[in-house]
Amino acid sequence: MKTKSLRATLLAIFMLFPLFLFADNYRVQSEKLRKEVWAWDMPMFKNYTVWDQYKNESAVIIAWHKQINARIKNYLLVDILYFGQYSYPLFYSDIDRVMVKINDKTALDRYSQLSFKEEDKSSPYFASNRLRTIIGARVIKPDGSIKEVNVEDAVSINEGKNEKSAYKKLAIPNLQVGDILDYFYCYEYQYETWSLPYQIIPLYSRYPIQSYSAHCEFDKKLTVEYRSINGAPDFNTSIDKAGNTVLEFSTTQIPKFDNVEDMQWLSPYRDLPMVRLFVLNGSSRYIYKPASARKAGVYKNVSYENILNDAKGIVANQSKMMYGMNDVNKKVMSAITNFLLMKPNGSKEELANYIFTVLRFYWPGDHANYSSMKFVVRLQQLLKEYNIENKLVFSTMKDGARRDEVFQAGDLEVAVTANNNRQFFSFSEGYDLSGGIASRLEGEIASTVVVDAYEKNTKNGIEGRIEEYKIPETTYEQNKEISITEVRFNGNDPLQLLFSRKMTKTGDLKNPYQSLLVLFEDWDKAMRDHLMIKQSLMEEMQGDKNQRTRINEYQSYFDAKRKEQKEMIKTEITSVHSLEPKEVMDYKIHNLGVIDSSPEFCYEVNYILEGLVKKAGDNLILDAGKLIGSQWVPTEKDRNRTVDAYYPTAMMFENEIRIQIPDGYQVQGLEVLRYNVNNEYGSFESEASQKDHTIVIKTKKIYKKSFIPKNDWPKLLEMIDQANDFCAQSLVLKK
Amino acid sequence: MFKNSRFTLFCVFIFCSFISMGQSKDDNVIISGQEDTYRYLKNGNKDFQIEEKSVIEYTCIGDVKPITVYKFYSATSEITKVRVKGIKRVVPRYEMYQSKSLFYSDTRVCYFSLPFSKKNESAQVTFVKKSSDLQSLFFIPISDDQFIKKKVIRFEVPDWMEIDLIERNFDSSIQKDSIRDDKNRTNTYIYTVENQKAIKQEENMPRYAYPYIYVIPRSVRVDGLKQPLFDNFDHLYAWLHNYVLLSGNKEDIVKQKAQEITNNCKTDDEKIKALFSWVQDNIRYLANEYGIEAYKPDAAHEVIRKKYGDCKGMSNLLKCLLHAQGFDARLVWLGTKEISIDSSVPLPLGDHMICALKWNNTIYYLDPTAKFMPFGQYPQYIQGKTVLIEDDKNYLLEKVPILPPSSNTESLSCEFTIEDQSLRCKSKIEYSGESKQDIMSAIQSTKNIELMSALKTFLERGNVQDKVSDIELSGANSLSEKMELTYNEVRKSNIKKHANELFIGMDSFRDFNTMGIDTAKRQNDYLFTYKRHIVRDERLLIPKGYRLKSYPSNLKVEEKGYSFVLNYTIVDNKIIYHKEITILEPWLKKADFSTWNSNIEKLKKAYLEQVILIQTSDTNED
Repeated sequence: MKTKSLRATLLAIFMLFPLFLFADNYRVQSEKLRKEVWAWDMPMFKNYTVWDQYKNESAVIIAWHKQINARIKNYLLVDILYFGQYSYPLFYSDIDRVMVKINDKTALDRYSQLSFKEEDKSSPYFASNRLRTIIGARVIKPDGSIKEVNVEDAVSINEGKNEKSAYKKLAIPNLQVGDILDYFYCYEYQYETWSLPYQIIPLYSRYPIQSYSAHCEFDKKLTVEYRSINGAPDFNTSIDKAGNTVLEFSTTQIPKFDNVEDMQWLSPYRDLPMVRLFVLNGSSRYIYKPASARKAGVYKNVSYENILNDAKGIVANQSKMMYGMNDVNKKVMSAITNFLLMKPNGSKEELANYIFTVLRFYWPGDHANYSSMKFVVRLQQLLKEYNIENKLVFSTMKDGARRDEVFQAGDLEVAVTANNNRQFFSFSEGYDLSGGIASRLEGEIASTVVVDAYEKNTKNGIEGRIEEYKIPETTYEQNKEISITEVRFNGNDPLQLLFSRKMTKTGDLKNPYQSLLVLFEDWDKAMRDHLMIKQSLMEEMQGDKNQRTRINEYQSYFDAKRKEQKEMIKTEITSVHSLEPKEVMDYKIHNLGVIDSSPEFCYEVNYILEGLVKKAGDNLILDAGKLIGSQWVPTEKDRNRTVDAYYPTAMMFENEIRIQIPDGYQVQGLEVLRYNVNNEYGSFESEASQKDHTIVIKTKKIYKKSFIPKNDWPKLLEMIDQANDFCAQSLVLKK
Repeated sequence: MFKNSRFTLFCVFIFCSFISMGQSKDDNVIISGQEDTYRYLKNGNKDFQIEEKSVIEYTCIGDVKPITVYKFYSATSEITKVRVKGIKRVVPRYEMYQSKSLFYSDTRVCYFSLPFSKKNESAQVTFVKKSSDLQSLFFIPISDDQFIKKKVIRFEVPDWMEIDLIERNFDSSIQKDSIRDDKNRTNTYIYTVENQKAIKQEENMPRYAYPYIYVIPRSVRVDGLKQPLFDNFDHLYAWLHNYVLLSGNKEDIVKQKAQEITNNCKTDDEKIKALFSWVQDNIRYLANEYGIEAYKPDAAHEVIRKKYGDCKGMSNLLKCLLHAQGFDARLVWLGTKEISIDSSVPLPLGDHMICALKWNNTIYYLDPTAKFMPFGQYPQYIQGKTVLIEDDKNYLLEKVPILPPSSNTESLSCEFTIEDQSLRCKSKIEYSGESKQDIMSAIQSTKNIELMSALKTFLERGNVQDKVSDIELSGANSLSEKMELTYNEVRKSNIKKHANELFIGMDSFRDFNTMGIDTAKRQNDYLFTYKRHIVRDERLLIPKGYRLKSYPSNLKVEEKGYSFVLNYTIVDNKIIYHKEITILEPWLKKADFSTWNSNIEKLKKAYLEQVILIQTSDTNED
């Protein structure tokens, strides 16, 4: 009885204990911090002048300072079994103070409200993970007068039956165009069992920045890794008296980069200046770290080999986490056995391809439990089981970090090669299982690993030989759209055009069309035929007691999708012409293009369009250029692109349009449709001719390369402009 | 037994679904039965309560998809019970309602997803909501997001409570009955609804297009004495005005600000316009509907300090500023959209506040939330609405004047010459009224530094061959009657040379070209945001060496609610193209869609017709 009571008392004390560490009253602490921040003795926050070159900007960030402070404190923690032990929580504060001049209404709208979550916590196993956000704001008028905003005026947006605050919103009073808003956000973390996410210090902003500085102090017990990329400044490093590391930099005149969200062909980790930062509390036994993780200290530009080892360690862990795979394994193994029976003399390549396809076909859509990495590991294991030569591939991605700038294991995607690199398999999201290389990996220099053994929790993770491997890059011939269109004038109403369009797509150009037009039900049937699986989906579900009850649901979903397909066809036509069809007569998908033996997506559609023919007395004017479909028209912003462009692949668009001239009409001036521009990044060629009563227009638009350096961007625009000029051409059909 | 009866019920629903009126193929989940009961309760003489109990039976009859079920409540009400039978693991969530147009509101929502897993599956949802505010029960929608097979709504009203039930958009599918219970001294009003189609949200639809009931709490008896709630306009006004008295404006601060704003004004007219435009331009609109703030205008001096406010705060400030300069200004309550303060019954349904000015024997209405709307012009949403104007302890009931479409004119004028196979001219577009407000909103949401580029894109209308330059903007403020855009254009897309002929399309704007309505999909009437009036005056100078060969036929469409007129006239060596599109009545009914579409087809065809010029001599226009 006494023991129980003592335990209860101890438990109560220890449960309260972590709270003391973060226990300052929020209001008191907020007030104290605001006073401290406003008192920062930094010249950048004392000069309110906007430089001449920025005076017409919507807003200008006059000063931005980032301050990070990370400390480890140790204290006794009691766990669920009432055993005491030391815990080493991370105390991390991250302050961004920004002083911004508001020059127009759009900027006023952007800065007129601030929102924040005061406090949040999670307490797994009697530990404590807490987040606190403190903000401050001041309005500086053009006459230099400063008025601090009362943050207590923020309103709470509540949730839950008990009205718990979800977050707060603060409307900034007395803020007008011409004012300066001086504000800060401070995020304070106390993490015992959680790791801080990888962080980015962006050195770009939608508004120009006149002065930027950063000051970071890291406890000597922490592992800190950082890398400045794409022209971001490097840290100056020093050690303070306590042996902790201080990292600092300052810079000026950061140009604006205001369309990150909607800019096309952007690869942020390759295009935008930023500092990538990772802080690992290696002292905590609650935090996962790979065996290859670095010891305490500050590491600038961790090598590719280290990151590769981290990635290998994570993959090795996946190999030991194949829970819940019985059902998938059973179906896959049964299918492979059947394949071997049906094709006893099949080649190794055919078998490898079959294993990939059937595994992907049966791979569950639950990505949380069945990740793409787990898929690749399972595929590698199966290839090995069937004596097919294979290697794991660790590759950077076009839309991720460069090979010599990798920062974390997640910068590397894992894939598999088979049969001495003749075949390449990666996890694919869409319907296409025809075996192409994912465009994000094309052309990257990867590392291949011959898997001798997965060694969980060892420094190398996977034991085996490592080699360098350049992932093949597809040409525009392999990523092609061919469109053959018959166009007739409607006899009753020559202002209407009757289209019969046949479309064939290959390579990377298939995916958007397949996502829009292919039905899961059709795909499933095609895959089962290809994989020689005798059972239909419904028969398979009928045989599974867990799935049996969902047959109706599936059928109902399929029926709904089939009903929606015609609407999707309309969407496709509208996206091609930027005009809604007057009527869709019929359509047919001839080939889904999802299997390796038949990889082309082919589709045909017949429809009526209005708006491409004008009437001039008895004559007709046909917007002939527009028959190839609407093209991308660059805006002024697009023209002034300041960063490299990363297209998924090189690609080609071919059109052949046959226009039947209506009886009694004649056409002249076909030369307006003849274009020819050709440079190293693109070409646009067109020709037009007449045979009997048919005009034949042929065009070929080629994006020759997937990577266009920013300095060569005008060369691609040259091709784009010619194609757009072609589109604007019309023909007169003279009565 | 339960299973059997449910099965029977289910069979009835399935059978009936084939013969139901109004049910569509898109109805995947229907409300197969619903019973809503509203009861007025009291505990003693002061503790009043409205209890609302809803029992809703949902049945999945089509595609198996989850639906979201929700119930709104507020700071003065509480959801005391949520129960779901038939589907397991449903967890209700409670949140404050957030929308873009509201900064802060005390509206809350309890919601959850009903994840149907198979066809013909049913789930019964029960909500009990209790409200302590007798004045809170105003609006009861009949329709729902799902098709309703059958619904019964009961209002159990004890004799100590007097209410009015006002029905809107009712048809024969809704029956009303009442029962007297002398023992409990209660009247029960019963509405039985059958085969009510699901609400479909569409762009530009009337806000209250479906049937609903207003519940007007007239009075309550306490200790045998009748205490009025919204018994008549006197009570309604007293209730509303009471909140105004709580504002606590500091007159000295307001007076100083009014003086500062009107310092350079010489006439009363200038002062009024200066004060009105100052509030429009300097106070940000920020809607606050939390607790008492939903009714009480923020103090004028506070709005000056904060530089933001909602319609009440902005109108109160404008009133005080005008007062400070000696004008007779009043606060005005009104309802926008279709819900409005009805002059026949005192409905407490105002959702907007503006300011009225009695000046030169005329009442002017000033809505400071309508940015860029000059003095004397009114946005569509207040035109024709009955308004309650404060008059100290009394009030005035008036109507906001209805303005003609011409107050919202968007007009283009230009004279083209032909050079280098291009149409060239200096063009001018003028915007007034709501068309000015429209374009100004777009301008205001564009960064200053990108404005010219955005206007160029807008004026070139996506035609890569056309070039617009030297754009100038004037009158882009609240004070001006009109906003003007002038620019030079070189238009190649509308001219085509063939042999000795030139084909010219006169209209590059092609207004309303894409305004056809898909009658297969559209369920609701179409509501234009305002009465449009578009005028295009384009003149084409026939170049030397050419003569007019032919020009398109004129078009005249005149319907009750709108007209399209396209006229070509020839004066000397000019072709004059005049177009007027007028929307007289912003509410286009479904019954008129077919005529509308056929008229839009005529308009589209007319736009495709070209002027033809033919060479008269060897002189080339180049």
